[in-house]
Amino acid sequence: MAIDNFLSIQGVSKRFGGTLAVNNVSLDIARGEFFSLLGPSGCGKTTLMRMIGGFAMPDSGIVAIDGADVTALPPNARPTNMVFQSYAIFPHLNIADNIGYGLRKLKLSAAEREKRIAASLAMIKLEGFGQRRANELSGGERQRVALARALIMQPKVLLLDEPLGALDKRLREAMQIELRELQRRLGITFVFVTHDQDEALSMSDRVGVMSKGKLLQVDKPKALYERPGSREVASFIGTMNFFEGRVLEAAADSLTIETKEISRVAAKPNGARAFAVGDRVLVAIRPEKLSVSSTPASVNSVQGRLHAVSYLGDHHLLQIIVDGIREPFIVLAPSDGKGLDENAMPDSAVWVSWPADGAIILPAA
Amino acid sequence: MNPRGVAAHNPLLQRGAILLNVVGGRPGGSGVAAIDVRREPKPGLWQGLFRSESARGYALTTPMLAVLFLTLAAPIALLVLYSFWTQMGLYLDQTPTLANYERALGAANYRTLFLRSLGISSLVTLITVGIAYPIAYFVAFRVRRGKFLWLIALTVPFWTSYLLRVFAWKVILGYNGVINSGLMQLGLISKPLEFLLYNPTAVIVTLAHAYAAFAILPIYVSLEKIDRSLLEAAADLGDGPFRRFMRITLPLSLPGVIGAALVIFVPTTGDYVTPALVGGPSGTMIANIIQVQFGRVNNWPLGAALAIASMTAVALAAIFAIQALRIAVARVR
Ligand SMILES: Nc1ncnc2c1ncn2[C@@H]1O[C@H](COP(=O)(O)OP(=O)(O)OP(=O)(O)O)[C@@H](O)[C@H]1O
Ligand SMILES: [Mg+2]
Repeated sequence: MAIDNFLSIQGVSKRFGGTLAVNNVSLDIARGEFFSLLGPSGCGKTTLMRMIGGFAMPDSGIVAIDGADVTALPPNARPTNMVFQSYAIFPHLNIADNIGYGLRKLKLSAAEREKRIAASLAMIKLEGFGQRRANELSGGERQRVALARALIMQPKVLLLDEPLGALDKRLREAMQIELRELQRRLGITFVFVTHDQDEALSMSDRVGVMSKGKLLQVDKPKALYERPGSREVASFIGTMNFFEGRVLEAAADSLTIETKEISRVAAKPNGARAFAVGDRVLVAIRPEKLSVSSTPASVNSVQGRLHAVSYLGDHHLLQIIVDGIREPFIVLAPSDGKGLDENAMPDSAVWVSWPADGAIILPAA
Repeated sequence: MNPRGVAAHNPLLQRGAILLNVVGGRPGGSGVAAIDVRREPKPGLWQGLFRSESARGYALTTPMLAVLFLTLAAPIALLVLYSFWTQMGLYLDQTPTLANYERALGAANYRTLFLRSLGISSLVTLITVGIAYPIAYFVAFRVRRGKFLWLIALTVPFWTSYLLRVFAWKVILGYNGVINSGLMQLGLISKPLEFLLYNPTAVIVTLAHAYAAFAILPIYVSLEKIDRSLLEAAADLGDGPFRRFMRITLPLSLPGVIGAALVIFVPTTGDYVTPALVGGPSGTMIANIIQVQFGRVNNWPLGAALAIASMTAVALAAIFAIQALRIAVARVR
């Protein structure tokens, strides 16, 4: 998908009293894209989304949709619709009137209005629920009503603020698939806010990771996982083992890094980043890239003590303490018995190793 | 009947009664249940009763119901009884008759008073709710910090006695009152205006002021309860501020408006202090005549018939108005 700027956010900032909730964010989202904003609680996701929807005015910067500057427009004049985190179903109206709420503007005939509402109810598989009230629906049904009420407006951009947050795990997973299918079918641009990284990675075309008001990185899910651009992104997405070091030798396709605890780590430069001899770097390794054995491997091996083993079905999660490194190494080892001795006891000495291309090298902060 | 007896509906008084309930009813009840447990391991009748939610509910409301019965139902029943009797000088003729109702509803002067009372209290209700709504709206939606202080400040004038407030208006509107002497001092008028006091307008102004706080609070509560994301959702779905108000804020605050209207309409129709003090002959209301029947004229049966008729009229008018309002607001959709 070519990245055109259907929804364009340029240098947007928003301050609440002492906190800079959104700090100079620029972002382009393509037509028909499923875009997720991911980040820890309080990082400014909702604030950024509210500025796209028109519920908050940016202190500076521009929001443009389909080529038109909408920065100063109120929500009712924007081609966006929102699915609120609380769903915001009108309690004094029945479900049909809730879904048809925004149709008033279109001045449809009664029959046409009925038809659209019926089609919308069918889309969310709630036929026959039109006369019910919001308090007579389950959480999942309410969520779908909120979705239908926004989609019936045929918005250019649909904003969803943690729409699945209130649902239990199974329903959430079912809704994730439904939402994704719906989005593909309708071709509407979705901006989806979540703090659940699995949700963001599994549903989205691209993900933007936010922290403390800043947009740290925007990338496809796979790229974000395999080539995080900074320690913050790397640690927010999945589990990551870190240790610091200094570049000893730098070639076009290989790096040698010296660390205090492990002398000479062999690595490959990843991404477009170039390192020079003497640079301070951070070595980041995913748990599944590490392997454990009772003897040292030929490259990148370090000795430690087995601290804890937890059983995860087809995998074991091992914690290995290496002297001099504060956090224990987290290793995800297959449970098929290869690598680690089945009867390895806590506190027994083991070797942790990884291939040269298994580590991600990041500039030290 | 004392028309101000409606104060028994006052939420504060009711809360007082419920408190009494909790103090008086609960410990005794659980005590009995506890004794039963010791005597008999099987769940006994008492224990079953106190386990049941509804039994406990009835137990808690019984003292309240008893008070309501003694102070409201019994006097009203007595009033109904009286209204079918006849006053014969100092004696009561207890043969049932409809003569009192024929007089109460048939005589032109009583009918005028009924209509005037309903007219005045309707106007007072409209004016008071009309003034109270924007104030309540302002405090609920625009004030960010210190809402509580605002509410206290708004109700402080109402901490004084009702009578004092009526007299205050007498002082303001009177022949030598604040307005007249002020205007004379400014040289705008040469002799005091006489149309300020002792007429229906004076009654309306005084009552509207006296009941403002009672209107602000229920409306404020219902506005404060509205989830702000509903208003954002309405804006998101294309409504401007006015549409949003008509389609979301107003219908959702309707219970508060109806509550406020009832709290004003019911007691003002039966008010006799204000018309007696500032109404003059043209501002006399039905309750003044009822009072006279129970007092100077000493015709309790006629007074009772007038009171029952007035109560019925208020109830019918209130039900009618509430239904009309509901339908009107529902049509805005
Ligand atoms: N109306 C407001 N007034 C003052 N501060 C606010 C307001 N709205 C948000 N903030 C602050 O701005 C920061 C970002 O808030 P925001 O709601 O955007 O976070 P979020 O990323 O959506 O978090 P969550 O995942 O918990 O919903 C927070 O520190 C919050 O306290
Ligand atoms: Mg949020």
